Amino acid sequence: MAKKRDRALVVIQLSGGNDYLNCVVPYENGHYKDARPNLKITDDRVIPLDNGLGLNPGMRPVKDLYDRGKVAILHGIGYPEPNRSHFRSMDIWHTAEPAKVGDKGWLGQAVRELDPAGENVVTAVNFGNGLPRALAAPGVPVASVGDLTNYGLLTGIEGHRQREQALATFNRIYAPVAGSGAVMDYLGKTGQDALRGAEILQTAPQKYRSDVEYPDNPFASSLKGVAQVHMADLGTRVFYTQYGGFDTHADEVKTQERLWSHVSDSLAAFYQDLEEAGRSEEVVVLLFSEFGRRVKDNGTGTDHGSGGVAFLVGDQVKGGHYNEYPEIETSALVEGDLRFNNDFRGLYTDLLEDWLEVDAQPIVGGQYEKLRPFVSVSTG
Amino acid sequence: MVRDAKSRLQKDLARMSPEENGAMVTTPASIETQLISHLLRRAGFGGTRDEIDRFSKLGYEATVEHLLNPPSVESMPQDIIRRYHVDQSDLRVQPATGANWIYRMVTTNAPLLEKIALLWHRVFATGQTKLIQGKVIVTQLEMFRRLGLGNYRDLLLALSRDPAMLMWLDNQDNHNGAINENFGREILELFSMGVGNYTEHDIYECSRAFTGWTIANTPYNTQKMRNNTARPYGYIAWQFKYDDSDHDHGEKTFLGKTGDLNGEEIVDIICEQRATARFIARHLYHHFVADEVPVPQWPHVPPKDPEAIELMADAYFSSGYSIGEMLRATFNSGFFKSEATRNARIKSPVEVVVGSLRLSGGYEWPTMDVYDASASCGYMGQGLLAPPSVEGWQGGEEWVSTGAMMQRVNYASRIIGDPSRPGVREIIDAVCRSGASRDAETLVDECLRHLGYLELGVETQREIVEFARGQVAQLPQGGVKQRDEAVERAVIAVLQLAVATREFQLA
Amino acid sequence: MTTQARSRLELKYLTTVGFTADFGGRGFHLPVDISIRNDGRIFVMSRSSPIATPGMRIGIADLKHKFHGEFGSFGTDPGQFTRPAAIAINGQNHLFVADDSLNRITEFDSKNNYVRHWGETGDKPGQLSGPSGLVFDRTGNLLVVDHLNHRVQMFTKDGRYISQIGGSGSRRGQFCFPWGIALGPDGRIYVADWRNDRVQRFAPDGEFIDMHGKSGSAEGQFNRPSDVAVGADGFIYVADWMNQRVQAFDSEWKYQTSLRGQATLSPWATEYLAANDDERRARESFKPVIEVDTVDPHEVSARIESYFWDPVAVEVDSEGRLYVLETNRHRFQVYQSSSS
Repeated sequence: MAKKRDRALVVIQLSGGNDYLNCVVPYENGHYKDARPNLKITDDRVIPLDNGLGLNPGMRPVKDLYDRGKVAILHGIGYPEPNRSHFRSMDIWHTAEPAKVGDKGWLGQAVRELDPAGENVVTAVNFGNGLPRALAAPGVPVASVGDLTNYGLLTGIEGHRQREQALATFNRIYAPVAGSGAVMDYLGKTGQDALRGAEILQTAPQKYRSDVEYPDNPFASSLKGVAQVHMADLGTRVFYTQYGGFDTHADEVKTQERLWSHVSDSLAAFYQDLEEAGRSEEVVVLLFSEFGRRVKDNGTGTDHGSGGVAFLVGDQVKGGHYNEYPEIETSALVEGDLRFNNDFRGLYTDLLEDWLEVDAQPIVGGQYEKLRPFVSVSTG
Repeated sequence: MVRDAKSRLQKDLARMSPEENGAMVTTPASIETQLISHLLRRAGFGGTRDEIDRFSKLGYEATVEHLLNPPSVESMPQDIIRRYHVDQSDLRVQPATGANWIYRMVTTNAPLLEKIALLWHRVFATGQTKLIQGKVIVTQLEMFRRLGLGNYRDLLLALSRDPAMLMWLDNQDNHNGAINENFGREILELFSMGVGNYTEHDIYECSRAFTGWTIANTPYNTQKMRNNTARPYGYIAWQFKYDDSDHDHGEKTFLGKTGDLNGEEIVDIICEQRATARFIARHLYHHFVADEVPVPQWPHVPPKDPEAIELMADAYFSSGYSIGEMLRATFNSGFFKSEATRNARIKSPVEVVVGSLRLSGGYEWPTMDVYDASASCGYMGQGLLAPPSVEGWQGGEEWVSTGAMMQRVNYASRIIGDPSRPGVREIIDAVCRSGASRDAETLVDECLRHLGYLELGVETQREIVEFARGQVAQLPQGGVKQRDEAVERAVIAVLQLAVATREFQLA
Repeated sequence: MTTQARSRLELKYLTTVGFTADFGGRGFHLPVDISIRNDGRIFVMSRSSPIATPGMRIGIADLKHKFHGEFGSFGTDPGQFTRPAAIAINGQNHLFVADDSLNRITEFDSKNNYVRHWGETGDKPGQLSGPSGLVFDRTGNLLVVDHLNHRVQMFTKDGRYISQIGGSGSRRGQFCFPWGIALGPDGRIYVADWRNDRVQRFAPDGEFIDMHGKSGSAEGQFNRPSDVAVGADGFIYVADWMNQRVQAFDSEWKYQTSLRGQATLSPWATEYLAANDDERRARESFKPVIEVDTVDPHEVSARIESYFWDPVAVEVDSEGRLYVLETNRHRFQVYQSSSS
């Protein structure tokens, strides 16, 4: 590495349940063809990889990164007693608590370890609305950014000068007032933190210089925002964003390919952007979905299942396959779904311990087998 | 004609429109006005200036009675909503159910019914997150409106037969000979007495008494829920079923009483307990009076105001378990009206959103804005029909984080700064008409009155006056039209800043 | 001239076509109107929801349960819509869509290609506010229910204004938020006068003839009727929306019969269950019709899968088949009419 900089983790949530079988396709497997009479990806359309596996036709740029050794494919990922509710399953991934309802996010807890005093209000940045549970932890500030170029407080005030004056007043009226009580003090500090976070983040697009063209879709804009904030060196360690629509009960072939082409094209632009800036060694991207889908198709789509696939992308990632592809044969299935063989809490342990360098055990609640997907594991 | 159609509809609704009101309060708000605006913030979502002035003439106690026994419970009619928003008829997904409740809260003439529904939604927190379909929870909320101010026994019994609650706490898996304690435990721990007032054995016996309390077509409905699937033809709303053949008719002993107890008897015994009265009182206090410590700490930390709790518990018993009577005693009490109580509770996200919308108007006819409003509650941390767990939302300081603060400030200032909303238009026009824009202090006073007699701290008020002074100073001296537009922008900016204050975050 | 329907009407259940497809594909999502082309192709307008816009489109099916694709999408570009409310097909097999938010009528040709759109917002003659019902008259002009203006307007198919009937009110010939519209075999015009709880009948030239219905749930009474259809034999079918039923009358408004719905699994549904064996097995013990503890028809329909739930549109084809489209169950049920 040229210069020792903080490492960042970018988490991309593919919402709706990405169909594993048509994403990383076992196209030579007879059981796959039998289970997918209506929507199998045929030999002429699949992007061949190796080991009898191929990628969805929408994933060409991922294939290019894979060929360069930058993509780890994490097979059969899931958790015990799979849940087919979008919300609950996503919540399990967010809290790393499959057995009971957890209230703290795995990344929120990581951020608290990284910045215990809450000194940097932009240690974690979410691109999207609201606060994903993954980032929720008591006292951990998180900036949720819809659109980086238009991010800030009092955005409803139209006149530029008026807004500047209002923000200055805002800062003063949120200042501590002696004797106003704990609640007012708390509101004051939180308000000023919010203001400070917005001011810091606003500097990122101004500093950003790049010739890389991102595709024209909202997901690409989010990734571009990630690149801008990362390159502005604001100390952000965790980025979060999501892309939805993977709930392909119908019209799956067309839909999944379209979504993956958005994701892959955006990801390729993001990687190129980092690479051209000489910053690609500092960033690892995780792509995951709440569950995989039923093995058997329903005519035009697939329904909620379990056992899925996740990906890690980055310079510091050792490319290739991790774990086995689960058996597709009917007798090997669990209630019509793939049997997971790879607990996501192991992957989280890799990311927490070896990438963010925080203690994983209290966050994932135990010891799980690591995948060891990084080129150079930190020596601590 | 469109206007005509809409105004006609409004007559249909017999909406409570402000009477012509000649007398304007020009002096700083009287104590009566302050108390009434406080009451409307707590028992409702805050009042407009007109509402507060009108109720001030009526008097405080009469206002309490008006809220407890609303002469009209009209809100935006469901037939109109269902025709425009077809997704609010099957009420399958959260954006639709949340939006449907927003309509109710923003347009109702009976805001206390919504406040009480919000309380029970918080205490009996039932979520689409697990149940997937929203219809059954909307039906549960309707039950909260119907029974939520009435007899607690009726409410608890209806809750025990509520299909959404039974599925939420897995009572369809509670069988004679194979007990699932989830519901039996939570009815004691979360819905009535709280930890420390019964034994593990009581939980077991209580669970036995609720065996056979299930829903019709359990296997298929459970599988659809588990698979999170609306296929083939949408969801089937659940219906309560008592299956006597699966009920444990053996002898049970619960809190010292023995017999072949069924769920009804359990509810009777629960409601007789002083612990139940105190626990419910503390929830009412937490919701309507002042933030309490988190519920799990209640067994270990005494109430903030033990006398208030005892007063409410007495009202519970003397009225035969009436929640409405507990609230009447509360609203008319000294502790509720005290200065320490007023403007000291952090507003919930729903209070921020609905309060802003009731001031701004714009809900006289179906509007897509309702989805934004519902989603905004979620962004601020209170997704309607989506409580984070069985324990609902804790509230208090937990409502506020940096991200939530940004959402709260930006939401209120965006809504209150939108002159296309009729309520905002009226405020701007009234402020401009009053001539207040000539003087910064008068301008700020007038704006605050129109924001429901919003009270600011001395420092905050000084700063906003300073800001207003800057706006007034920048007004052009040119032609009338140009000046009017500039005055309007100045008024809007003051309104926006006023709802961006810490004080606006409080109720 | 008028066709008399004097004999007794019978309706026999034939089949159910549909499936929940909220992100597009085979099936429908919260459909609001249905139109049958003379070749038997059935067009279904899915209004869907503003937060799941991929569900918004026109799907094409036939009575043999074949799915023939879909077209149109959410948006404001030509050929798109934001709040589609009604469809109608003319003699050239062109399909017209009414958007009650954009206040425009969009025309597609017989190959489902966009042709043009027209419509201007307002309450003057020829302007639109919430177009929510469409039908072509015998001369090829388009009747548009302009519901927020409480009137029906007649246009050429290219959008040139011709005339109007109605106005806001509850007297004869006035409307309160009208919705669906139909043409009788003799050219008479039937309008579902939604918030007046009645159906009104007009001569082809727009002159008021008569009306039927009042608020209620008894025979012949309506609770927010949303649509009307008239068979070649003169029998009249009314989608009694809030009563969750379809009522049939003869041409003199004599009550005939009422349908509550008796849907069965469509082949699309069966194929779905075959792919989801856990659900198929759980369904084996499923009793669709249960005794309910509520009298609210909307709630009853929510609990009984085979009943109509928001029967929003009715249509009769040239073979005397009655189609009942249900918004909340994403399907239509088909009944064969016969008279004796």
